[in-house]
Amino acid sequence: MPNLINRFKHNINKEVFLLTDIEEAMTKKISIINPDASVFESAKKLEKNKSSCLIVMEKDKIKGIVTERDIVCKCIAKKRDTTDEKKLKVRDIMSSPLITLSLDDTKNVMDAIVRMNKYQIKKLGITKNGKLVGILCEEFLSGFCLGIKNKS
Amino acid sequence: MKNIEDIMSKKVITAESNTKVEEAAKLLEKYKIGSLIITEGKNTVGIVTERDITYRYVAKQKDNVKKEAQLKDIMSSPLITMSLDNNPNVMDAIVTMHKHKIKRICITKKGKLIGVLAELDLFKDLAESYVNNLKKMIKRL
Repeated sequence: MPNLINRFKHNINKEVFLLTDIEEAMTKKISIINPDASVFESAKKLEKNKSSCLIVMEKDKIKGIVTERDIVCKCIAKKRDTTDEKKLKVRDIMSSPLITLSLDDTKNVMDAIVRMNKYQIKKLGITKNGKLVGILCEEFLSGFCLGIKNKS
Repeated sequence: MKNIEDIMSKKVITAESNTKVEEAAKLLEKYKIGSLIITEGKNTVGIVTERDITYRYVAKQKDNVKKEAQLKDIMSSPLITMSLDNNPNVMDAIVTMHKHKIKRICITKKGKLIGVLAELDLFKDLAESYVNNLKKMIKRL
């Protein structure tokens, strides 16, 4: 992820602008998890990979996405047991289907934001030729897109 | 550019540091928010986000983490704040957030917590003006 502060150091009194290339803003590191795994396992994987979401895959098919928010709201807030996969599986709490946007249709971040707002989501799967190639996360989007430009 | 007070969220939900994690999760769900400001009496002492709950509570459930864990066990502390008393602008806020590698900063005025500014709010505001400018340009064509 490009580091904004480095850009800042050189451009401190300049104007903010928006970078808008989806492919540059998305994360290409996609972590996956089996739908039958326990919620504990998914949290462990999130922590290990320092990521905020996992793609739920079963036999090479995308079943959905599980995010920090799914874990907090659907398990912890409901006091459900997260360690026993017999009682609660990732499948039970994932958000499904995964909403995607194809790079074959657009490369502009603004189109992605419109789609995220439409579905009220914070993670958008990015596909190319029908294959998942990245995830656009709202939280990283902001840091990436706030760039700096010379006042002209 | 707008000023910090216009963009920040004034809906600040707080919880005492001895609140149970499960209760905090309920608050996050109820108010549709991603973080809670943690207080001890009149003092603000930290912040708890969805990530803190996932990484430090759910992912640790087999490493003998207390079932009854409280927010003080998992919160990020100290709370990074920015005072409006010296009239900082939005750029100052962005620089401070990146210096501390945080995505949210608490905004105070005369020592009182009055809001939370998220990087995302800044971005949304900019995206909005970007779209508006595009619309204006299209009208001119």
